[in-house]
Amino acid sequence: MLPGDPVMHMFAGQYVTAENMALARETLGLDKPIYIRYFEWLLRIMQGDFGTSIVSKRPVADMILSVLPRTLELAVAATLVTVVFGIPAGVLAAIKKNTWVDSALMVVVSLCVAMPLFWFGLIALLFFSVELRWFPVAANAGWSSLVLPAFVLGLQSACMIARLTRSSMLQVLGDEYVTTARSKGLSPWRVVTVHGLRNAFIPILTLLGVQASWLLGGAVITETVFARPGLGTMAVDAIRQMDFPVLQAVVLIAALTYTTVNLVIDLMNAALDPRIVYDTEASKA
Amino acid sequence: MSALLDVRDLHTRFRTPSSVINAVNGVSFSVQPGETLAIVGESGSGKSVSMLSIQGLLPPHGGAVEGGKALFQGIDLLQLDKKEMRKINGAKIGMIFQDPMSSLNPVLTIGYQISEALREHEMLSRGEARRRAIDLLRLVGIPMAENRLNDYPHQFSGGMRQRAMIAMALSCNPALLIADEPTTALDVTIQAQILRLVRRLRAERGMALIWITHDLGVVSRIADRVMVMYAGSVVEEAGVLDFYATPRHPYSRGLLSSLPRLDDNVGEQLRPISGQPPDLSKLKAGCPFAPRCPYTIERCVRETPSLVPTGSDPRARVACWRANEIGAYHEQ
Ligand SMILES: Nc1ncnc2c1ncn2[C@@H]1O[C@H](COP(=O)(O)OP(=O)(O)OP(=O)(O)O)[C@@H](O)[C@H]1O
Ligand SMILES: [Mg+2]
Repeated sequence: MLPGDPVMHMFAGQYVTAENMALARETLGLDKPIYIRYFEWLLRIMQGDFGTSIVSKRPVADMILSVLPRTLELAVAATLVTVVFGIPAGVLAAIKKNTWVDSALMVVVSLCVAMPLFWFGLIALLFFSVELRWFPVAANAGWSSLVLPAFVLGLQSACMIARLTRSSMLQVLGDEYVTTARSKGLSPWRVVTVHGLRNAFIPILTLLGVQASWLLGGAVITETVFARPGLGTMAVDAIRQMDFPVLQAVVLIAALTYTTVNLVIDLMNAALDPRIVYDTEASKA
Repeated sequence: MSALLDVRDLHTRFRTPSSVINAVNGVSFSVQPGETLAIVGESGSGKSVSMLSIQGLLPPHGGAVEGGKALFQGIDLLQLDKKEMRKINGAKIGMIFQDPMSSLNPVLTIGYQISEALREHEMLSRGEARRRAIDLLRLVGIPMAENRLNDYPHQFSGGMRQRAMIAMALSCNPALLIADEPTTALDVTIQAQILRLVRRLRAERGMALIWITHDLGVVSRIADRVMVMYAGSVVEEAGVLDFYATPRHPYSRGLLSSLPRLDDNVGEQLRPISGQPPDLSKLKAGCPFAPRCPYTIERCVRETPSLVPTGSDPRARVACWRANEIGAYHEQ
């Protein structure tokens, strides 16, 4: 819960009477006890009414809808970066275990996991946008403005995924069914992908789910550094201005996203691992 | 008759940062077409590593063949590059492992895993490979094979899984089947069924068989010849009847005397001989069995006995300085 009084904040620096403040509280519903306010809020949410912003006086739903696509786009692009770079890097390190390829990859991974996100964002911005001018500095200019933020947001996850992929692959490649696969004369590509990665992917998928819940936190930093309008910047503004209806909506969306993503991950896990059987199916058998 | 597989002076070592493990130290043996060779010996004696060495299947890190030849149908497998070796593995040499649960991939269907080798080596289409997989499952005695193709390994019982493994290993009609303790993980009745199945398939297809086991009861029921390994070396090889009648190496004698003489000699495990096998990273000159041997003389500790022909069988061999004395004593 945020400390402070939104009404004091609204009228900060202005001359107001106690009655005016009381009136403002009443219109905002802040005079009622917290549990009543919570149920009222729940009821309204279920009717699709997110309320209006205290600051801009615009409907919160409109505000969210106007920035949601930008944040989704960033989240999807960042996840893509995570998967496309993290998994192959991890597989490569595992296959090349104890060679310079493996060591080099793991050094990069450790550095990038240890680096604070905002710092990494600033460095990337300075180097690629200001120095090299490959990408726009701050940005509403389509795809090119998405590349750098997506990398900044996705790379750290990619490095964690790479590390997990490596250890998971190493474990799986030592399993007996991999020797069986090799004894059938299959190509190394088939052994590694069909027999190795299929099995190693199960823990990787779980970590991807956890990372999805960090995405919004990461988006706050990334969007701020790159001055991208989005849910993250909106949340920061709402906190700064005590705009609690907006903040509540953002938190709700974050929570919904998290549960949805994890449901999808669970379903994908079940599809990947035939040993996971849901109760309904088990009772049929 | 030229040998199907002729292994000569095979050496395999595992190098770790702190030590060198001499897992296989000059192993030689041959297998004729259609013949069954049983390889016995305590845990860690190098049975599995010898087979994996021949097939180029040693784990990718640490283990390496450091000498020898393995002529298979006249071709030295140890000289082949990986691609050429892959054309032989799964096609001309089939392999079955001890634990059918962990040797089957848990996330792929039985049907997929059986068709895989067929599609790789015989370039069959998905549909053709599927039909062949059904035939193979029937061949190994899985009822309603066409309904079981889409099952996953965890939906099969232990015995059925080993049958599926056998179907997989036989899919491309190999000339040699290597079975590494294929019945150890199974209970006695299932063991007997698998043994009967393999004997039948061997007879039908005329393939040679290398059967690795701890179980001397099984050896007598399947093998033509027996090879005994100890600390990465062959200490004795003999025809199966000779071996049971007159074991020449003290280690073989130890193994056999610890075998209870039951009429149904199913599933009797070797009872351990007292003492420990030597540390493979610290092998010294002298017979590796000397510290545990009741017949040790001074020469055994000084000089390593080489594997020499013995008796009337031209292929029988033993590595013991006192084999003749022991043999003579035993025959009395
Ligand atoms: N991956 C490995 N790394 C290091 N040493 C190994 C490895 N695999 C096997 N060894 C060593 O090689 C030796 C021979 O092992 P091997 O698996 O061939 O024994 P085995 O005769 O098959 O025994 P078991 O009856 O238990 O299967 C053992 O001492 C073992 O410690
Ligand atoms: Mg073994």
